[in-house]
Amino acid sequence: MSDINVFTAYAKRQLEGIDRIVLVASGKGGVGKSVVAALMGLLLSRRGHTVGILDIDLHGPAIPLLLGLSGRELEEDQRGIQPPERGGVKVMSLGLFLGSGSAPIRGSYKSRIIGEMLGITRWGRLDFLICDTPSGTGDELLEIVRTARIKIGALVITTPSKLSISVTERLIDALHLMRVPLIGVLENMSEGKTCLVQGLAEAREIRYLGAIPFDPNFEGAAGDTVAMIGSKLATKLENACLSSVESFKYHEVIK
Amino acid sequence: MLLTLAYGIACMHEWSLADSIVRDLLNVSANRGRCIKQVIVTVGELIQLDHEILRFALEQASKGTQLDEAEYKIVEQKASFSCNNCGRVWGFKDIEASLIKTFGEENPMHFIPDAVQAFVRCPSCGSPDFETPKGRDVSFSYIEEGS
Repeated sequence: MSDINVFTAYAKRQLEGIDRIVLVASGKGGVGKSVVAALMGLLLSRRGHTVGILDIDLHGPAIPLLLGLSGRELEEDQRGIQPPERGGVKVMSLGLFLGSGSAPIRGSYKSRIIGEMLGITRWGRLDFLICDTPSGTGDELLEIVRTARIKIGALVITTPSKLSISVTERLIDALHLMRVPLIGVLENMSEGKTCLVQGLAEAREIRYLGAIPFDPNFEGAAGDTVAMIGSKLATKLENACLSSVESFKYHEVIK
Repeated sequence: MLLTLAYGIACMHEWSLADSIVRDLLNVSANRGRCIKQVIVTVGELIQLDHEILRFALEQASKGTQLDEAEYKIVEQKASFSCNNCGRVWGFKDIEASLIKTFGEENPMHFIPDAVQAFVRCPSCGSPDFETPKGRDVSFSYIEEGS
């Protein structure tokens, strides 16, 4: 019996035109990871980069809603699906197939779903593929790291709460074990007290990218890419970390 | 000698799948230094591929290669589902009509068959918690010249 895994092989071929993957990761949910991923995609596109977002939060895909893709807008040809675009960003998400439906999926199927999503998506050439991951260190994160044998970097998001930070420590440790290069840690929904997240960054010897305050007006912009990119949150995010994301020395995971 | 390669494979369209199979067969043929005369492709029912298009795509992808003369046979593996909640076992035909009614002919499982739990429910109890032990994969066997 051969050990060849064709879907992984085909997913890798679809990734051949992609230069860098940015994993947007968090220890806990609700820290604004999907919002950061969506805004980062729009901001990088505005700066002239070719960008895609792969939403692998299978149970709670938020990227289609954030970027105003509410229904199925998928163009299929004989070699796969052309991902829909908003604000210059190509998007692939299980949410594009689910609509408003739920996705109660067992773990053993998740790795294959990610391979399928990668295998069917005709990304073309991209400077950045942003990967919105579910919180934690489960199948989805492991599978994308395993499959993506190209330059990669992880951007870790946390709020300044002790609870979030304690779980973020576990995430960073896992990413170190997986030998994923770390762009840095971004403090989201900051209340001005930055020492806890800064302390985390120092203790784990990773870059502290800065703090972004909660923006109560962003909710109204969600779904409208023009309003999103014009928001205060977008400005803060761009100032805090976009240059770091652009200039980071991405590299393949060291085996 | 009948040699079998069996591995999990995600949904791909017929041409993409054919391309991948032919690439892998050519690698095998080169590594073993033997020509392949017949290929049997077993396709899971859940993937909903058009067998005639697949066969045509395989033949086209093989033209001008070591597989130019290979004969392709497509066999379907019927899907089966087993509910973890009530124990019901059912087949694809039991849910195909409702799937097409909800999503149309190009339903999501054609693209992402392993997301089946998101699109199908147990026809007895309505639970989304079931296993799909058969019908999600593609595998192929081949027979070499001189076998």
